[in-house]
Amino acid sequence: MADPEGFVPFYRQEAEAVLLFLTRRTLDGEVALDLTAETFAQAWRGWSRVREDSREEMRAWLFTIARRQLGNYLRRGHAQRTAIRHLGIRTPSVHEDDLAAIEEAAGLGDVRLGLKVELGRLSDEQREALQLRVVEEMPYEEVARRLGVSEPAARARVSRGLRALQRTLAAATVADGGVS
Amino acid sequence: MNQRFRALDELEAEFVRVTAHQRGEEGRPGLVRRFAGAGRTGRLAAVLSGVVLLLVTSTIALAATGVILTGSSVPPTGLLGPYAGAGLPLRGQSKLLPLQVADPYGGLPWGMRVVQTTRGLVCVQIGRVQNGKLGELGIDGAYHDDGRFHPVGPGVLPAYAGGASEGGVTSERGNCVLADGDVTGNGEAWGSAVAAEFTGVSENAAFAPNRKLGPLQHLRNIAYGILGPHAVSVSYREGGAIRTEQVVAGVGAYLIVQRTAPGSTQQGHGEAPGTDTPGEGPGTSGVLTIISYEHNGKICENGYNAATGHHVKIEHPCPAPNPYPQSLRVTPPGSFDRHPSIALKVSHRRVIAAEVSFSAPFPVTSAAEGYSLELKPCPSGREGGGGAVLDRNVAQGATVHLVLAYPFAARCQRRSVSVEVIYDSSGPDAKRSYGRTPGELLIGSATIRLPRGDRAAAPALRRHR
Repeated sequence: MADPEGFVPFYRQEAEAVLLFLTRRTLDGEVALDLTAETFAQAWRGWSRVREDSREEMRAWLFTIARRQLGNYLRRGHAQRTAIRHLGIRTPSVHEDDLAAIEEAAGLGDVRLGLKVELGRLSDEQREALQLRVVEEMPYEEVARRLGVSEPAARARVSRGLRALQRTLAAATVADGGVS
Repeated sequence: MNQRFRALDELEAEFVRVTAHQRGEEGRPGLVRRFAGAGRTGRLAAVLSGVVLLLVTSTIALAATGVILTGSSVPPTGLLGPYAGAGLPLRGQSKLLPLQVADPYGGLPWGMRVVQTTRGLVCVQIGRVQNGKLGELGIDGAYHDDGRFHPVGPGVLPAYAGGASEGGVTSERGNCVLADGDVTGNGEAWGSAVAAEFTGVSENAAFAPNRKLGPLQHLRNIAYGILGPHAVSVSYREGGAIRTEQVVAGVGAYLIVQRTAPGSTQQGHGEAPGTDTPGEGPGTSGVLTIISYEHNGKICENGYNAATGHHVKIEHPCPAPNPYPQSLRVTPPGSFDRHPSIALKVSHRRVIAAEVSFSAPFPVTSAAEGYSLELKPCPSGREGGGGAVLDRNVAQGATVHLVLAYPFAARCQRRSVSVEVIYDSSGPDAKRSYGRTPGELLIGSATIRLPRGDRAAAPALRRHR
């Protein structure tokens, strides 16, 4: 069983890697932070049942949870918040400069450039949604207004587009701190 | 705190608070002394009496919200009783599936069973099979190394070996994955998808905890899951070839046991993104390459290797599902408008929690239903959020109490904060409010105001260095 005292140091050690991993796959620092919060919340809920194995094994376990959160997000169009709500955790604010630093560290500029070709293969609907959200970095509220749909529908459209681009995203981000 | 990004520092502070809380380190807050809410200050006496009763009788309910106002520690999600959390195994509902798979090194075959719980969840277990029973071997330190077969009792919900990523429950020994891995309100019952993998495990599907396992060349990788009634077959890698196996009809169960590659030192476990919906998501775990489904009388396929991120060639891809099923009725706004009452917890003139109470318009009879509390985020960004979840059954009309920690912690919510009460449900009878995710029904909202003379409290920031 893992030592409860060890969770915060574990968070401190792995949080950035998880955040950047998710940022590269969602192309969205805000969504990635939501998913990171839920990932660690899920991890804390399972912490008492984790055997304290090697760092690599603990990390693999954590990234399994992160991938699951990512999969849920890509399927459902919104980040799951079950454990966050259960624990009463508040997702922190992302300041503009912080967001820029996260996206720069994740190398999103290069990823975005590489996506231009792939965007052309999507449906008009998905391409437009991704163009507004990912390339032009508009808030979802504005994306929804431009597309003439509800905000949940805009989110779903973006996530479906991202799902279609996962092959490209995975290929462009194989060096996620050894966990891809 | 030394994260490169400020947001991660703030999130760390949240985990410091939550982990300290659950280890019982938080101080004991003062008694409820003030009532605030949407202009209903005249109900102080009624709320006070309700809260006192709550403190005496409803420890489980409070634990389920993640906040214990009396300073007790909160157990991790697990077996909280028949009407809370994952529930308890239903008597007589443990079923060994008609699925037996040979072990690559010989000995008893592997099998799989499901155990249903009182809260409508399904626990999936794997193990060795003898005389129609699932069990474990007395080796590697288990059962005093007696070398015998030990059946797992029909009502045992063992722990997910190596630690649950989310839904495993702690009880005895062995492996268990709950359907959808979720026991807090969004859980889906029978028919939902589980896909799990163990890499480099022993003859008991165990990892090497603090004991030495057999020779590395005798380890195995196991992948298993239930993919729901639409699933027809799974394809997976076996050496350099692709093999296809039919799943167990009706539940879509599969079980694959393979030798761990020579020289591999990997050990791990995880839940893979399996799905019971044709066209929804990648739908495969690391070893799987394709899942075939029956969709409108035809066979279609989902294929994507989640482990490598590589697509596989799909002959007949499943169409993407409609995320908003037409059968899901949208409930007009205000249909279930409740006016929750609010009680604040104050310690040293700082508001540390708010309790939101309301009458339940619908009963909660399983883990697939529940009530939750959501804070509206700040208008300028994502700050705020959070909330609380009810993780137990309640009768229709019963009073539900949900506790929100540090309601005024966000910078934009120092004076007042808006909360929404949501009824969560899933399945064919799921409800939905306009503009919300399917399964979420808005049943009430309130504004919590900071009383004059009190201050907002934020989680304590502790430095662990």
